[in-house]
Amino acid sequence: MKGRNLKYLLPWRRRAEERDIQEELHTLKQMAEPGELGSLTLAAENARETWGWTRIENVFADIRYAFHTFGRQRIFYSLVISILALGIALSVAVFSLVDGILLRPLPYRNPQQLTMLTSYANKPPFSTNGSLSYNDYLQFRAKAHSFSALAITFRNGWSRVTLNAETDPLPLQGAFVSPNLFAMFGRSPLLGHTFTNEENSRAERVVVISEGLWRERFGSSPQAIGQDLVIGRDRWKVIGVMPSDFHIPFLNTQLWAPVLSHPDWHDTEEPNPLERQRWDVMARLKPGVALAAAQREVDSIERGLKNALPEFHTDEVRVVPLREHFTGKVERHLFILFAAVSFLLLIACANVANLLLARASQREREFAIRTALGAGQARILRQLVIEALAFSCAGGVLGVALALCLVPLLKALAPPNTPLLDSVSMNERGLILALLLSVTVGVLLGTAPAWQAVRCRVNDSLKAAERNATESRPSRRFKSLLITAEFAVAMTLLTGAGLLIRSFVAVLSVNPGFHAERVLTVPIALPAILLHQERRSSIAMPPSGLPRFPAFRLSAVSAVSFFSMKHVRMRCERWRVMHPSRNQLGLHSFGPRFPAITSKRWGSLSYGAASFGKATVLNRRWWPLSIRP
Amino acid sequence: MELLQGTLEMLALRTLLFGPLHGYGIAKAIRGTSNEVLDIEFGSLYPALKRLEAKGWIASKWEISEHNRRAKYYRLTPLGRKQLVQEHSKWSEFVKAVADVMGATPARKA
Repeated sequence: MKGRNLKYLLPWRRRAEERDIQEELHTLKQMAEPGELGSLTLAAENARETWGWTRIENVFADIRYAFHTFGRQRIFYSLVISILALGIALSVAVFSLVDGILLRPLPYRNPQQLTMLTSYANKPPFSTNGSLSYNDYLQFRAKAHSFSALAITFRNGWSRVTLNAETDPLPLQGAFVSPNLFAMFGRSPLLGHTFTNEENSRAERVVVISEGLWRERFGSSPQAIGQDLVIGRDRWKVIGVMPSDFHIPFLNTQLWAPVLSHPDWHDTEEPNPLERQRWDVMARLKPGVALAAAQREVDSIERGLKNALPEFHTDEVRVVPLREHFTGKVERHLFILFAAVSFLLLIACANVANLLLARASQREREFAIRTALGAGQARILRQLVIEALAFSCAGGVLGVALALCLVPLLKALAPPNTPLLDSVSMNERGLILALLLSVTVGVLLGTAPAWQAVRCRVNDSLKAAERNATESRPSRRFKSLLITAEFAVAMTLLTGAGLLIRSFVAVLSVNPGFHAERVLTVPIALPAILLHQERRSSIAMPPSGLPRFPAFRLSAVSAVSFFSMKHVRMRCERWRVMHPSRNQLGLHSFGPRFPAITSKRWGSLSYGAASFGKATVLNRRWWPLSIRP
Repeated sequence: MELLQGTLEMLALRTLLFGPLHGYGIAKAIRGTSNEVLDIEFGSLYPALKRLEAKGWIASKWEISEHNRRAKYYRLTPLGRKQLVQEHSKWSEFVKAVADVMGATPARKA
């Protein structure tokens, strides 16, 4: 019978058998002539091999020996282990980010079919923000056969709505969406229902709320369905609750209302409402339809639209996978971060390899003795690799523990609008990576000094009485190679970091077309009382006006958020052509010297001007550029 | 003379057909019956016995030898006897086949 006898796995069985063999050989030795039986040690050794566990036993012996070695050189090996732990922890933590944000599928049905149709300008002034017009949506819905469904949401509609404005106004992220959005993403509400096509076409004031808002406002009560929420100055009926991981179209959307109930929709003064580019269009590809095919079809439809309405179709339309739309901005950053920590791990490995090599030359005598006693190269290699595996795995365990603390830290440090941050956690994939890294690092680090050990000449090493005999030439060369490589990697990393800082400085010094320094923006939510006042032509101030705030030379109020200054310019250009719509009246109402806001009231700014208001404090220089009062 | 690969176990089994023997006895018996032609290395025979024992073809027991000494005696099990019959016929076939191919001793050219 070949193979292993399981009973010999038990140590006491092995010991009993060993005693038996020794006794038997002893009796035979007494019977035979001296030397007739040859080496009995070899006979016993060969007999033990028939148990089939010698190899594994040797491995255990090597592991025991490795820990024995660690014990003798505590400081050295705790240094080695902590260097590796740091390298592995960083890699695993950043991998968890990459995995959660980029690699995990989106939490929607067949997420690979979900796409976003975005416009982009291929010639100056590149004045597009990716939105399409309602007409585009209708055309694509009617003509494109690549998609099984198309849904729209109002771009930045209700970007901050004011909830329950009678008391403390609460700014929220809302969205006006088409009724089929929920079904297209394959998600159903936790409670109640989502709005129907009929509710949409009647422009009913109904809302679906997020689980978070449901918990906050209604204490997760089922009675919430059918109740009213005061948004702006209108009452909206709650009809459904969506689960907390439904992040469409924005990360923190808390309210969904029917598209056709948006106030602008009924603004009779709005010219060409169908052609205004202010809709985000999402589409689900039919099964088996490739992205490229869909893009070709969209291109041909767009060509037709350009011929019919050239003034409204200057942009191209691109079909982008939804994941790319969500994570495109952070993808490159994450990969750069991942590359950086990989380099760090490499540097850590090179460091440890150097330390080990330095020690290997100290241990040359040990290996020379082993070789003299009959240890083959393979045996010494195995011993060293097992030793390295022992400390790299110890580093791995420590690294995982460290990564467990690092992941929440990274999540806390990430920008608040980082997509899919919820799905980031230290999970089994991180553990597998840690294991893989530990094993790879162990094998590599074990082989490096072993390569040197097996090359050493036994005689020379044995003869050299001093422990620190001069190093052999190849080992010196190998070490300097390692140091060079380490230096190269460190330089790459440093250069990369330097360039990153340089581009950051360059981004900061880009000229946005106006002087942005000393400009502050402060979003404010407005109580309902103000909303009853005249909204169109001028900004209604509270009777006392905005209190003075001496630190500001000029302040102004706008209904538009200014997070992108380029964006603002574009909008201003557009407004010269079009009549300002209701929620954008702010810019038309800038006074040359707006009363400033006191520092005392700064924390609780609860008054202002426009219904979807944001106050913006500006300096004077911005003024002449884009506004004609 | 060196043994052919794998014949040692067969020889040991055959030797035990006459009755239980200890390890040294087996080695002596093989050497004796082969008229000192086959030189058995104890270092190989001993693990071979352990292998046979593991397969269940022989069994061992501590007994008192004829010189009043304790020794471990090996004897053939029924399973081992069956195995020996099989190996014996295989061996005969092998010898016959090799003999057929080799034929008579070729004459030396002058």
